[in-house]
Amino acid sequence: MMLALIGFSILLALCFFGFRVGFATLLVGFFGFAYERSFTAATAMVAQQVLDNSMNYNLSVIPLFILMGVFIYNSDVSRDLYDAAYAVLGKFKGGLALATVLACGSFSAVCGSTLATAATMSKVAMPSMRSFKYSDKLATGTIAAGGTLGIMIPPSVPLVIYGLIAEQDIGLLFIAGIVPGIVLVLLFMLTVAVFVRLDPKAAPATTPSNEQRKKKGIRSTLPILLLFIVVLGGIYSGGFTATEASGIGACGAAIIAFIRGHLRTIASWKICLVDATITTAKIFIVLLGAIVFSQFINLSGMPYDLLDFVDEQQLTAVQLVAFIAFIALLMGMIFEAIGILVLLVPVFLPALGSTGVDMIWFGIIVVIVSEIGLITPPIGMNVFVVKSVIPDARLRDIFAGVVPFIFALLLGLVLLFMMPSIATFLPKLMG
Amino acid sequence: MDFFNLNLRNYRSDTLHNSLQRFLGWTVKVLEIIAGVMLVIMMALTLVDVIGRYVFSAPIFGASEMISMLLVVVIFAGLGICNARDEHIVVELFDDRFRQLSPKFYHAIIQMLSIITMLLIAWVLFEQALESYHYDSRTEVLNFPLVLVTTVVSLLALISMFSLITGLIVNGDNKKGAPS
Repeated sequence: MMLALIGFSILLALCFFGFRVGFATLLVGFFGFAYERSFTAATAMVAQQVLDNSMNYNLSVIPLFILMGVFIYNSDVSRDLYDAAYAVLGKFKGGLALATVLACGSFSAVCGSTLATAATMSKVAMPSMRSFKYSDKLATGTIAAGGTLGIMIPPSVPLVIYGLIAEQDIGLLFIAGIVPGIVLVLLFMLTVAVFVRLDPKAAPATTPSNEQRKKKGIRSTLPILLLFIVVLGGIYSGGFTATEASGIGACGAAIIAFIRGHLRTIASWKICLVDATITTAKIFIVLLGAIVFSQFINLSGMPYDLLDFVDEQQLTAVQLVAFIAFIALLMGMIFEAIGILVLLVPVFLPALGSTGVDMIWFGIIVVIVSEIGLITPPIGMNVFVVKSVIPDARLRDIFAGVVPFIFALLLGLVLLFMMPSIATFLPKLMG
Repeated sequence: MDFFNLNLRNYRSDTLHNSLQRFLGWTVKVLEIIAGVMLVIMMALTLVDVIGRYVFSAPIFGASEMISMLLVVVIFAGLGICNARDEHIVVELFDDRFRQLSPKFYHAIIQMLSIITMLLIAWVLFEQALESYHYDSRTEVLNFPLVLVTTVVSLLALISMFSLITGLIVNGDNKKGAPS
């Protein structure tokens, strides 16, 4: 236990000092393992973990879903999604912000990255909101928070990684993310509605969208919806595995992009492919590092010490999960979703198993907590993404703007605790 | 990075710098092509496999194994590109404040540790390659010799390490937060 805590402290220190997260976890894990066993055992372990996991068929969903997202991102479909959402919601007060939430949700359905969602929505939604003199707080807060939907609404990279660590079916996890994702969209809309009620000046009246843009928006939303239905429907019906769904999703996204006039040159293909490759490599290096680290943590006996602790205290499943969620909230201030998953989940796996927690439900809990982490200071990745796309927005405004949405996410978390069936209902129907 | 520049600035000629830059440019280009092609094959393979299964009831034999092998190549080719461009996930909390204290020392330490990690990865992969050669390990379905995969991957890891080092030397001058 002591050794594991020392390992964690060294790792945190290295990360704080700007050392690359993936490399730091791998190195600390390696030396920790070598200290406990032997140098030879540690090298064998690293080799095996690195190769096994980078040749894991189930993980090939990661590059393929990333590729799907990159294709969609490069097909300029976000503008139309936004127009369609505005056509539906424009008549309400704060319509542009409501539309931003809805567009973030629909974009997330074909893109598994919160950063891409936040970045693309910053580009699309911010100019409209600025031109109608929406307050920066409301506008940027909505975008940064809406972007976090990317990891809840499937496809979702963190859910894939959770599935790997907790040995859960990735398809089931994706299906489980649908309803909580919709609940969050509704909660975010409610937040916007309350926001503009309390501060009517934040969202001045807007003009309704014109017929032509409305039609174009709705017309381009249909193929996106179709793609989502094919991918998730295929998984849901058991028609294809998650990996097959991701491959088909990427092909479908490429076709949509092509029809919309993109991906017609080798150069534009190259941009997308290289982008997807780099994102994949970045995710895998963090993943591999963390897996090596968790081998060291397992060897140190910490997970079993925690199991004993849980037994001694006679914690119930809900208490344990609440405790883990609290730690994850703290970690979320520093690490992003993948870091939280791979560092936290393995440590608690035995304890979770003994209390009989529904692991699909728990995965959704961890994801929603990671979403909070994406917008809380000091390191709210999504806030920084919005800031980098809209340089003249003040960081203080964005952080102030996301506060109501943090409460919305916390409310979502409480709802999930009170009604686990929000997450487990659909997967149970599946079998 | 400054650490390396300091050493090199006095000795290096422009030609060395240029040729390193060219070498790095080529490496990245080749890695991009490899990874890109693999990704496209991966995507096409899943599609053809599913169509084959449902339309012609003839799935591709060993498709999942092929996809696994493509995956590992994509990852390690991508790692080389990330290293060359110094693109990695970092947590920047105290980072900037400490950097100010002694930028040169700071970067030397950070980058040395990165190089050590890459060296470790490349080394264990080479050992693995040797082992798979020694035991003539093969994949379960296709009976494909694993040594081919492990060798390619360990070579890619080695290239990644070199591109990390070259990237540090070449990009050293214009990296953020490293006032020289």
